[in-house]
Amino acid sequence: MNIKKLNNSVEMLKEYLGDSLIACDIWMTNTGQSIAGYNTQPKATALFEQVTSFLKKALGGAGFPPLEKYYLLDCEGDSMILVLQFEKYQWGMLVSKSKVQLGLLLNVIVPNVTEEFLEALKN
Amino acid sequence: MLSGFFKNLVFQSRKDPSVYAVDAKVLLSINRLREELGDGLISCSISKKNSKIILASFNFQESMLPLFQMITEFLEHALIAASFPKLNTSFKIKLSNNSLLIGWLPASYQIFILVDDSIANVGILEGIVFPEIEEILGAN
Repeated sequence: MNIKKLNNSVEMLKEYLGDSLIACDIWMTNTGQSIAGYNTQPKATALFEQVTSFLKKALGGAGFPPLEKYYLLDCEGDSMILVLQFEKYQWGMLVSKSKVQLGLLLNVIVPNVTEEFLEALKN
Repeated sequence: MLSGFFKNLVFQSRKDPSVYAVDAKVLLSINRLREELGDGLISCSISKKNSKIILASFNFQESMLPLFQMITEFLEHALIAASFPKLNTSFKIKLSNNSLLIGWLPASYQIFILVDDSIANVGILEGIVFPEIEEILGAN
């Protein structure tokens, strides 16, 4: 893994989102081990590792199409949780709803930072 | 007595057996979703929170409701257990094949919508159709 590009993908997210990014963490699926992030919260990482595992089992057990790309939770107050899915990693982010447009986040910001992250995995 | 009969009447379109509704209010809501989403709507259901009774549905298998309720409850409990802000009124889960599962929880209702998001306009759904349905259901 190219650590410089990995950290750069987090920096790109911080730049795009500014103060609408409250926290983010990139972790290894199954172990929950964090590899990069911003204002990381180990408790949150452990929680979303569990949530992802539950969703995969629940959907798979019911013969549903598998979880792919992301899930997004609209929370009370001003926060929103987005968890991106990759083959061996997940990237969770806690974002202020009032400071970022969802369309911009999903269609512009996420594809751009994801591209950098995937580049980091290649090296 | 007559109004009681109509209140409990089950609407099921003769032209389209995939539509089911227990009253005009929920039927109108389902039809609004169908109208706006067109071929992008794969299936949907309307029920009351924590109830196993489906009030209205389109192309929806009854067995999907317990699964979607279980997912909703798990998300609600997980956020509380981790001292996170509580789940508000919606969640989205992106599945393969362009499918997007939307769990929408306005007031006492729980509405599950499965869309093909390569066809459906989710922005219009959330920004325009959801407020209209909240008004129809009296959930705003």
